Amino acid sequence: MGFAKYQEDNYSRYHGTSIVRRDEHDRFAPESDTKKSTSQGTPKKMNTSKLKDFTVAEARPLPVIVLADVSGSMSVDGKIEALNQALQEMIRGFASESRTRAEIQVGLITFGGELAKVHLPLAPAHQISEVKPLRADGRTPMGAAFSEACKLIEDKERIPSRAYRPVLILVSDGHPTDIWEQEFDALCGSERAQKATRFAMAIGADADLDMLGRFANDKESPVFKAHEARDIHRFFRAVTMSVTARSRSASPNAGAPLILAAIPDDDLDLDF
Amino acid sequence: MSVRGHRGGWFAAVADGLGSRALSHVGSRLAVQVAHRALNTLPSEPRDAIQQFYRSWLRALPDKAPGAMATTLLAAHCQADGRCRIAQLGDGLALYRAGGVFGVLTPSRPGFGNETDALGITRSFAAWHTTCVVLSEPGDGVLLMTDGLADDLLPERLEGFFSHLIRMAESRSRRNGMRWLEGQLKAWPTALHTDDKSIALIFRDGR
Repeated sequence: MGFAKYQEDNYSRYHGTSIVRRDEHDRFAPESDTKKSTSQGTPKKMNTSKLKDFTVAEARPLPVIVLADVSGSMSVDGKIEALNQALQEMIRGFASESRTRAEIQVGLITFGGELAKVHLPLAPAHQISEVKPLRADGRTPMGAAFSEACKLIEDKERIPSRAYRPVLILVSDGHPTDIWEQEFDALCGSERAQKATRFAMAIGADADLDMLGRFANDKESPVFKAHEARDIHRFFRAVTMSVTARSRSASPNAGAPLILAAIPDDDLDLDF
Repeated sequence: MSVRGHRGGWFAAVADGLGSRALSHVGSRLAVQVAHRALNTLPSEPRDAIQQFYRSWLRALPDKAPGAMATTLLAAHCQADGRCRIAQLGDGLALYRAGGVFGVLTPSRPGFGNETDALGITRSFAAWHTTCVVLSEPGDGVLLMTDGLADDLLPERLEGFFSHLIRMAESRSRRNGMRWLEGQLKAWPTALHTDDKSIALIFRDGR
């Protein structure tokens, strides 16, 4: 005996209506209806699937991993403060978008002093309540950060195979002070990490543009050069737009380049 | 997707066009049609059979741009005596139970979601996964599904999922079985599930 069933993704093919989505995932449901049912105390419709025991409950993750330079030179000209603020804004931006097609997750690896460390373990953006402010100090052990990133991406427990291709973002204002080439080659050559989309931002005139240029692997998004603190905000806003565009896309693995031109240069510095 | 009776046996195929390719829906539809039409003429040797099918698919395309019509394909042909050939190119999942022994044709995914081999892109025979089994006992069967379902299943519960579907199907008529399955797909428990979902099951019942 044989039987089969096909359920098409109507949202991707047509115009925002789907017979597949469950109510609790339905961002297209009229807000008034949702509010009305909540205010009247109507219990939310429960999922009645008999297949819950066999399936993963969580949405597919789209990991975003930031490698942030926190060496001593980042402490001048308001760079570290701008980076702290831009990271918070990016996470807030992801949190408001993270319940569409993919669940955007954010991790933060810092490198400064003598080592690289995981400042923020990979977690869904909407579950991140705060990020401890970064403090700048010491040398620039960038190779150690590549090693941490590679370890994280290769770990199938933390980033499962069903995840969408990760995004790696490198932010630096100086030259690496450790032996970074070997770690960089390992990152670019490893089975999974080599598939990550890599963006890079050079802060100030002392940044190692050659090295950052080798890091960035999206031809449409070359190394972004930040000349002042507000450029850091511009870069992270472009990253936010790129990643959220991917998370809404019917093909979240397809790259979305950084579009910095779309961000007005004369924006006021407002916290929203 | 196609499920059809064939000379006392059954043929099933599911195909999932690559969302990033403009005409992938044409390629996927043709893949299942061509696979079904080719059943009687395919050689027994897997490499020869796949090459012949692939050429037939390329000939059937409305224009000479196979990359634009790229699609995955999972197909199974079970003969009346229980002998069954299964083939897969690209993501998705092919499960089977033969002689009471459960098996998974699909290897674990090396990279990330939505990265896949496909007809129209992949030329290598090594990218195909094939097997021949005999469905000899009640509860034996073949289950094919696209990645919209496969990627949301717990790897350690695949056999349980397979057995559950066969139990549910056995206790229902074909029409009711499909209606039940449709309800399950609509209420799919994974958050933010929006990918296409196709599933096909061939099984030997106890009757």
